[in-house]
This record gives sequence, structure tokens and C-alpha cells, in this order.
Amino acid sequence: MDRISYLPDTILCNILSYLPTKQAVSTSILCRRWRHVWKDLQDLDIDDRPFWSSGEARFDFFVNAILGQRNADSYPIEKFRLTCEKFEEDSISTWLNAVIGPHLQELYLSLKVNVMFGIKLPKAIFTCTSLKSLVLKGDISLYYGPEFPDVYLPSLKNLELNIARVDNKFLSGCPVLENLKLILQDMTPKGFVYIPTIQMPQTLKSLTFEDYSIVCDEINHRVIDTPSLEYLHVKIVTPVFSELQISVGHFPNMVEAHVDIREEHKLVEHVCWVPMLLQALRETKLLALKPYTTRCLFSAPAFKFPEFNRLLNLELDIPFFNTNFLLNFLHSCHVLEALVIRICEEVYVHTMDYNGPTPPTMVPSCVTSHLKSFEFREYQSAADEYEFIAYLLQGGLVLKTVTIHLKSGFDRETKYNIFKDLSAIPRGSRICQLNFH
Amino acid sequence: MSEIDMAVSKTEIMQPYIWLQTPDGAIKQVEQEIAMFCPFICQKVIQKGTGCSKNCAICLPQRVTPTILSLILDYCRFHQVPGRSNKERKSYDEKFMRMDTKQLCELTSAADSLQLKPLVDLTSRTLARIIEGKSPEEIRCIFNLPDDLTEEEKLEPLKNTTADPRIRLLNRLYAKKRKELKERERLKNVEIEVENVDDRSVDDLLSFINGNDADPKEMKNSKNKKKNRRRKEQQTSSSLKEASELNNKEINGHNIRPQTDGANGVSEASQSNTEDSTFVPREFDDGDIDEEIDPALQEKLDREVEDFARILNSDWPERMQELLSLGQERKAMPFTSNGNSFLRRNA
Repeated sequence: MDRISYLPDTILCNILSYLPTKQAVSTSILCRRWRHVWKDLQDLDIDDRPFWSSGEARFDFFVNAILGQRNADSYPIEKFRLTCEKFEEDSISTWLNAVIGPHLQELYLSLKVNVMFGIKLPKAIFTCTSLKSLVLKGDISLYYGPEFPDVYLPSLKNLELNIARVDNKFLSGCPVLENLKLILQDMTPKGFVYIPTIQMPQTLKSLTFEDYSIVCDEINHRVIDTPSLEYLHVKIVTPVFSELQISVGHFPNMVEAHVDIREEHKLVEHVCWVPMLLQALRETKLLALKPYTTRCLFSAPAFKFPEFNRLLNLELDIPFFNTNFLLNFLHSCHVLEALVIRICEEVYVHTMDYNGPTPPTMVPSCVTSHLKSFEFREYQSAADEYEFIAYLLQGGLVLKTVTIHLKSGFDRETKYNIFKDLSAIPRGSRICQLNFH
Repeated sequence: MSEIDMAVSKTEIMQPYIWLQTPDGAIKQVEQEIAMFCPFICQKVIQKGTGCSKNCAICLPQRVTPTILSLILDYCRFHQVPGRSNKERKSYDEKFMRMDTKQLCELTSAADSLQLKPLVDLTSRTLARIIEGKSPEEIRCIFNLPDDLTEEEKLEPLKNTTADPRIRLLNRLYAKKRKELKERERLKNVEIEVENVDDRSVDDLLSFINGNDADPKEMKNSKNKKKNRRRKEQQTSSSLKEASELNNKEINGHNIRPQTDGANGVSEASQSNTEDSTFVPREFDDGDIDEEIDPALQEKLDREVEDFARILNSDWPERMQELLSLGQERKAMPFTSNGNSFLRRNA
């Protein structure tokens, strides 16, 4: 007895919606009952990978047939996902025209095609009022003439752009945007595309921003004034002689912030707005700083750490070890529970100096009352490193785990001695466990 | 509702137990907070007041047998507790889904009839995982599906269409655009009549939706432009229109005549309405389409469409040859229009 076909069409179609579209459509040959079920599917997930061996014509035919034969009037497409990595695909514009409409809620395009400048996205997408999520990756062109078209996407909550040309108009036309992933590519190999200003929509809760597009001899302005922001992942690469202005607001709701600011000019290590950014992030619960970012803090003149009143997790990648820097940082983290330090020696520094003040003599309050876990990566058993670990082991009255990752290159015997020495240090916390990797 | 009524219904709601009756007649007593997790039961209790005692037990839908009911109640019992983490819930779901496919399908059906969407999605996803990656034979085997399609029918779905599916798709597109335009026109007329106060902004918004930043004056010009195009297109598509009219008659009247049968097969009107099934792109009057489909491609398509029209209007046997040769790379199968197989491959 047939075990499944008695289920109503809506449920069968629901099951098919969890399958890649190629397989969903192929259920039409299972038996009479299943012949037309796929035509009600409103979520399509089309990938050209299964067609790499059969060829572009087959893939074209397949997609045309699906879009042409499905019940478009009663079951308009709500989610459309298209991944093309191999073919030249001049039909894609036609497909997008068929898909973009008043019912479309999610559009995902990831294209690697051999079309100069990329596939042109139909303008209708910019006024698709039902659209909630839009992901554009790869060879997609948004060029329609000297003036970027007007954008009005009143339902868009999720936006991801990783394409060649982005205009700030795109961001300003999304009044309820919550999640943004924006990757501005380095355009110098393909031609010069200057994006003077990028202003993040104020409604954002989550922002991933990677900017490789900063150009020299021009003023680049990036504005991150987003008071509702909870999650921030920012990476900005600034080439030599570029002028980058960053404006940030305050982030009272910040939960997690990852900051990677890279100044490529070796003689100028100080990026003046990094301390300002850190100040704006002082309410965060997790803070992760990459080595180029902390390098700025080392060399920043008169830099005072902001008070991190809610910080629980701190991950510091630093170009070289410096006790005073770390102690100053710890003194400003009042409730810190987890600390991870990694030494990144590959990062160039002009001098191994820390310009900041001498830290106070008492043990930071977070160490005695809050710190539960500590991790040290690329430990070289230098004297100051050893003393710092000893300091934490002795002062950390509520420490639970301490993990030391030894830098590679030590022979067995030395390793063993290092472990022995560290294990011998008296621990302020009875439950403290020492681990080695 | 009087005070007494409200007091009575309140005590009914406060009752800790609900009585459910499965299709076999058996009555089961279930803790209220667990049973109320099912929208169907919730509705019955609140709207109809049933379930508060053994005598007025809620009759469960046909598919909710006692075994299935206890499974569903287990699910509800776990998930209705608010404090659980996502990880816990996921791990429970994974274990819960360990059952044979027959029971999985029964569970899906029962959960659907009780409107318990999270469970329906869970079982559907599990069934999809079972289907994924398997060949049709394997799937038929797992679910005991009858192999009741003819060989021809099996090859039909995406390979039969001898009409270039792109043409059909484009046709659909034009029909859709036409509809959208009509809708906008209608909206615009309504809006312009109603909105007097904030006139400017509504106009702006509408013209913006129409795809240009023009003010109303310019909009008129673009309307005229559209009218001109329509006239032009009507002239060129007169011959095509003949063919399409024949087409329409055929579909509406269910007549099988040699001349139009080919047309019907070519256009393959399955469930779509007559508009969609003709491949004459009527009303080429959309300025928006112009911008989106570049002119070179448009010409190419026009040519292709005219080719088809020519084919239609020529003699039937010749046409068969042409049509068959068109689809030859894809192993063209004969038309099975109207199930009559009037045209056979070996004709």
C-alpha cells in the first residue's frame, strides 16, 4: 500500500520544498499522483552544479521549462535561489524577470559567469515591495546609467551584497533593514570605482562590513551610526595615502564586536579613529580585536581605555607581548570572565613600544572576582609572558581553566620543562585547571 | 456574556484536564497545557467549549489514531515547556523522528489535521531527507509507490516540450507584465481620484513605481509612447494572431482537427489559462520590458516567434517534420495532447 500519496497536495509540496529543485521536479516521474505536485512549489533552489557535465543547453532548458510549466498564477514564486558557477547564462535576466514580482520574498543569487561586467539585475528588483531578503554575490551588475536608480524596499530586513558596484542609494532605500552584510571589493584590477560615502541604515541590528575599496587621494567616508546594533563584524583595509573618515554613533545594545582595521602604510601605524571606535563599543559583551587594530592602540598617543562595564569576553590579537598594555586593558574590564590572547608576530611594527601609562599596582578587580577562563596562544616562554601567566594564576581567585598553546618549534624536552615550570606556579583558585596544547 | 457565563467559561478554561476522543471511540484524558499546544484542540476548547468533561470530549480528526495521538502528545509535552534551549529541542526532535516511513507519514497527516505546524515541518523535513539523493526506483520502493506512468509519460515532463520553453516563458512574462501594468493603471486612477490633499507625494510614488522620476506631464507622454508601440505591434502580429485564434478555438472547443492539433501540442496548454498557452506575445507595449530585455535579444525572440507562426501556418506533414527536427537533440517525443495520441511518432 502506498504509504505517502494519501497526504494532501499541500503537504507533499511542503516536503518537496526542502529538496533541491532539480530533485523536487524529478518526483514528477515517480507515479501519477506525484506528476504535478512540484508545479505548486513556491520555493525554488536552482543550482547549475548537477549540469556541469551535461552542458549549458541542458541547464537552460531545465530552468526555462520549470519556470514555464509551473503554476505561476496560483502559486507565485516566493523564494528563489540561483547558483551558477560555470556557464555563460545570458538567460538569467529572463529568468529574473519571470521571478521578480509582487509575491517574491526572498532572492538569492550567486553567479560566477563569463559575462563581461556581469548579469544585469532587472530594475524591478529595486521596487519589489514584498522582498524581505536579498542576497547578491558575484558577477552581478548594477549599472543602469550614470544615475543609480531609486530604491524603495519597504519589507527588506536582510541584505547581503558582495558585488562589484554598490551605491549608497541602495542602503538608504531600505527603511526597515536589520541585517546587512556588505563587502566592497577592491576595484583597482578591474577599473576605478570610487564610492565616496557609505552610510549604514540606522535600523541595523547586525552588520558585517568588509571594505577593500578605499581609494587613494580621495576622501572616503563611512558612517556607522546605528544605535540598535547588536552584532558588528568590521574589516577595513586602508591603502597608503588614503583618507578615510569614519563616523560612528554610540552602540548601547552591542553584544558582539569584531574589529579588524588594517592600515597598510608601514610608517603610519596609528589610525586615529580606532580609539574613537573602541569608545563607541564600550557597552559590548564580546570584543575581538585583530592585530592591526591593537597595533593602533599601542601607538596611539595618550590613549585611555574606555570603561568596558559589560564586557564578558575579550579576544586580543597583539603584534607583540606587552604587560602594561594588557594590565591597562584588564583594569578597564570590570566584569570580564574570559580572556584570550594571541601573539601575532607576522604583523609589522615600527617599534615595540607601548605609549600608554603605567598601570595601577593593584590586581585588576576582574581578575580577582570574575575571570573564569584564560587562554594564551603562541606562547614562547619569554620572561614577561611567564610572569604575566603567573600573575593571573596567583591572582585569579575564581579561575577555572587556563590553556596554554605553545608556539611550534620547541623540542620535546624543552616543552616538558615549560609545562613543568608553569604547573608549579601556585594557583589562587582551587578549581583552576591548567591545560597545554 | 453575563457574569455567570464568564465565570463558568473561566472555570472551564482553568480545568487541568481535557478529554479527547479518537476515531475508534476511545476517550483519553490529557493534561490541559499539553493538549492546548495543538491549535485544533485549543480552538475547540475556546470557541466551542468542548473537551471539559468525558461527556463532551473533543472528537479528533480521522487520522489521529490512539498510537499517533500518544506520539503527538509526547511531542507537545516536551515542547510546551518554555525553558528549553534550542539545542535541547533540536536534539529531542532528532530522536523523536526515529520511526519507520509509514508511521512518519501518518504522523505528518495527523499533525496537519491538528494544525500543529512545527511538527508538520519537522516530519516533512525528515521525509525530504529520506527522499534526497535517491533514485526514483529507490523512492518508489521506500514508499510503495505504484509505477503507473507509461514510458512516454515518464519522458514527458521536461523533455517533451518541442516549443522552445524560453518562448513559453517569455510569453508568460509578457502576460504577467500586462497584468501588472493594468493593475498599476487601475491603482493610479483610483488614487488620483481619491487623493487630493497630499497630491504630489502620491503621484511621485506612483510614477516612481512606474519606473521613472517624471512628473505627471511626462507620464502622459510615456503613455502615448506605449499606445504607439501597441499599434505597431498589432500590425506585425496579425498573421500570428490568426494562428493564436485558431489555437484558442481548439482549446475551448476540444476539437481535434489536424491543423490545430499541432498548434495545441506545440503550445502545450496544461493547467494554464488560454492567455498563457498562446505563444504570441501580444501587447508589446511595456516600456519597462524594453529596459530590461535588451533590444538585440528582443529581435532575436521576435524572429523565433515568427518562425513558429510560419511553421504553424504551413502544411501539417511538413510542420511535423520541422517540429520534430527542432526538438531532435532532446529526443522529441510525440504529443500526447488530450490523451488521444492523435499524432504518433511513427506517423
